Amino acid sequence: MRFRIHRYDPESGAAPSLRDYELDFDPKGRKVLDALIAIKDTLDESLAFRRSCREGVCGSDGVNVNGRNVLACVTPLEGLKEPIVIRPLPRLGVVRDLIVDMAQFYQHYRAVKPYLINLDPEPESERPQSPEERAELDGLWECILCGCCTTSCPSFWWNPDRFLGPAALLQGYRFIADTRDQATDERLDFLEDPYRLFRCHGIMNCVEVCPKGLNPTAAIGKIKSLLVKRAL
Amino acid sequence: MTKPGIPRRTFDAVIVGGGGAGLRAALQLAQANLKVAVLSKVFPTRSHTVSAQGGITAALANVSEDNWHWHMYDTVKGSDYLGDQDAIEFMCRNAPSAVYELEHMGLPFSRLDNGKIYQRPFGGQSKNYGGDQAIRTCAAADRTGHALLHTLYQRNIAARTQFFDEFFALDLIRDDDGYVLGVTALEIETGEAWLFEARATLLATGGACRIFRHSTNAHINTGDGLGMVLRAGLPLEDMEFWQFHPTGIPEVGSLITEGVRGEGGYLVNKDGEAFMPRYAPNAKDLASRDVVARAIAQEIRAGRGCGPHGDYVHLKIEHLGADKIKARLPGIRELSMQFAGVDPIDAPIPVTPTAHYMMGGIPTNLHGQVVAPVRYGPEEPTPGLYAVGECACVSVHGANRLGGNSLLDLVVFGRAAGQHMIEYLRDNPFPRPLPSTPLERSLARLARWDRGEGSETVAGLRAEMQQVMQAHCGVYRTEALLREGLTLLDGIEARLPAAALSDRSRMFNTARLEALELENLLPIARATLVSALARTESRGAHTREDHPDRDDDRWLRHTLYFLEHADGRDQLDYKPVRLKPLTVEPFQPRARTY
Amino acid sequence: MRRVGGARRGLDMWLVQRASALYMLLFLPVFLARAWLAGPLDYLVWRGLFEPVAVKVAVLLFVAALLAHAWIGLREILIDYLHALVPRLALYFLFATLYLGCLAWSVDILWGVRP
Repeated sequence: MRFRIHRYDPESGAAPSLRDYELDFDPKGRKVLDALIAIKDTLDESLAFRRSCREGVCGSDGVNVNGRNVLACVTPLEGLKEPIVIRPLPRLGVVRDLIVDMAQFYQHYRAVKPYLINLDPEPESERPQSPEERAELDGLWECILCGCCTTSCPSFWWNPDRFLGPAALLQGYRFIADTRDQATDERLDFLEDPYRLFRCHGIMNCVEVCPKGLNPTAAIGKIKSLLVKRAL
Repeated sequence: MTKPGIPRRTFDAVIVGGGGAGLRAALQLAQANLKVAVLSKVFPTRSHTVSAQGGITAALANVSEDNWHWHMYDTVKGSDYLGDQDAIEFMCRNAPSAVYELEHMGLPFSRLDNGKIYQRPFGGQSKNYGGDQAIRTCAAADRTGHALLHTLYQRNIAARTQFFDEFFALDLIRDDDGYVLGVTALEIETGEAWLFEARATLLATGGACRIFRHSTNAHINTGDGLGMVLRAGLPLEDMEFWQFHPTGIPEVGSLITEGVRGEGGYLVNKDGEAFMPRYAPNAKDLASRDVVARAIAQEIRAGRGCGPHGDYVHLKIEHLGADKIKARLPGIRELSMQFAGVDPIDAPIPVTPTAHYMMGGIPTNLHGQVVAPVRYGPEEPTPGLYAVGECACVSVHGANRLGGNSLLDLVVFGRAAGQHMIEYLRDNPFPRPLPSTPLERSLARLARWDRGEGSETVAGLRAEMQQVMQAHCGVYRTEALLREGLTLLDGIEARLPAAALSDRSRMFNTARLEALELENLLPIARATLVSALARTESRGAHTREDHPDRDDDRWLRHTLYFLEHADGRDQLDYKPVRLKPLTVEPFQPRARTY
Repeated sequence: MRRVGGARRGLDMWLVQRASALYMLLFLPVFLARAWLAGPLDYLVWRGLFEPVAVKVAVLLFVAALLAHAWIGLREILIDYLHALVPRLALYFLFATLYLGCLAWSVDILWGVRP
């Protein structure tokens, strides 16, 4: 199989480039990550990429394959057009090869206060929540913070420092939607800003690429309707 | 002192590992307003806790009558009586409060109609000391580990814990009196060595199933804390006990949670026979994991496996219906479509026993203090050193862990260790002086991989080791098989000095990282083989075909493995099982049937 | 660097954009239908359409909505693509003048229509 992989060695001083690899590999049932590991183990030890769970739940190996942001470990090799072009996630700074600097992404995540705020005294047992109330959180809490959505969003490309991006907004809404959380107003205050939330123009690139099938655009829409409801 | 230019940071406590156990302990310390640093070789939510699926076991009695005594009995029995009963009592007694605490932190548990936390049946859980199946395992769909890890990370953000993401811990710093004074670490992005000084150090580095070729574990599960402990002259406990999860996807290794069987799924062989009732007439598919794994292995050996090579069996859940599968097992459906090419709504999932969990590890007491025989007894605390989670051996899992008890282990002992560290830090307010050359050994280890030209590669040696462990230390073991494995491993270890890296760059050099990980994996593989060879009985997950029975007279004791560099090789020692619980009557060893 | 935000302007602008779009959506078909029903359109008929004061007000509102909508759209574009303060302010000023001028001109045109 033929691969064309983004290489950048910050120590060499050389400009980033795409390097070609020819790998003798049976793609049947295998994923892009399997090929990357095979290239590293047999062809070129210096190829650097992140990986951990290799089953699509940890979010380490977000990369851009043939122009699309994916998790390498759950993307089948079969059906990909050769040469398979693998690049780092767009817009973020490249540390090396396929490894990007996620600091900005994590900073936005922290900015939405991604934790339950409830100042009531803690009861002896659980705080009750009906299955229906709990169902409001489905499609929100499963986010793995891989960054595929945020780095596919043009609004994030233009204002990466000020637009929070779909992943952080999804997590923001995860706590707004939680019946146990008491900080909805505070959260809405924070988001009611021309940049943080309202850079989203609803083009749904995030929905298109999310490897977990989540829908950040819908969550952003729900935040907007809450803002409207509150204002009117 | 230290060389100029080497970054050096000082904290009250340093935690190595950002999984569930490390984060729970960090939270305890941060909330006590101590300066705490968490070093993690990956961003914390990439830790392997995230892959845990089925749930966390606690006797909440939300679905049916329950109490922690029954949970304790099941855990002792599940451990094949090798678990320390004081620690098991501590864990089961504290389980409900630990789970409620997680709920208060915001963990999105699935809910019952009355608004309480959803609980599901899990293997080895019974009512009334071995009676009917208990419904005890609390779940957030089939992504409980994800929910737990993210919640704990989020709480740590709120508590402003200091994170050092993508820092790889190298060695413990120990002074001549045996005090642990911090760790050395490699900043992966820059390739620089750092010195982290702390009065208390906690290892929460997780498991090491990457010694096997097929495992449910993440690539990062390389037992780094275990390597550090061995190099510091401390022992590892019960390393012969590795859990083979009955239901991993063949070849790939992805885990299919026991919760699938808890929700009503069952195993069938190629004849379509639901075979578990033959092996465990009462618990059937929800027998303990070692029992189910052996049953599957037997079916496959008897030629009743499925597929062209007859090397797996089927897990059927179609009868649950699409709605229940989508609501309760969405992650399993996703995994099975991605990695087995099967939608479980329509067809059974292929599964086979797969290395999953390390019951052994760094010996600790129930406060998380690392204990070792030094002068006066088998369990003297090592001052300043703690371990929790899969890397530790408390031992609550004994010879076989029950499903749902590992997440519980993380939070109960993470909290306990954090609490004990707070007391230890209060009693030891002044830092002790560091040894004169704290970095020497770590720098030498790093420098070793800067050498060029070698005849061996890291990937090659690792693959051979994994092959040897898979073939020689699997579900069924014999003396001949283990001995042969040890000889082969000797050969691999002997070739390690000839290994070299072609990539000797500094920044984000993952090849060098994998080399350092291999240096941790190899002694763990050795510890496993040596401990397994010595234990001439079958207990829990350690099944010796040449010694098929449990032998309580000789082997109701814990193995301790030391790496002795001085006289060349390794050394075994033993210590008694703590059969006396904290407050209740002990459970005496009995024949174990399900 | 300290970033200030939460000025509520995000929501206001977003609401005005939607409200103006809604008004245009309602007004245009009604007005065009009226024009269609008024028979063959020559200049006098067209001019006659604008004679009632109610129509003048409605059309003026339409122009205002159009300009508000355009203004917000322009602002979005500048926020996305033009980050330097001076050119952005200059363009804001330029377009503000232009749009206000258009509005004044519309008043002049509309109220210039007399029977």
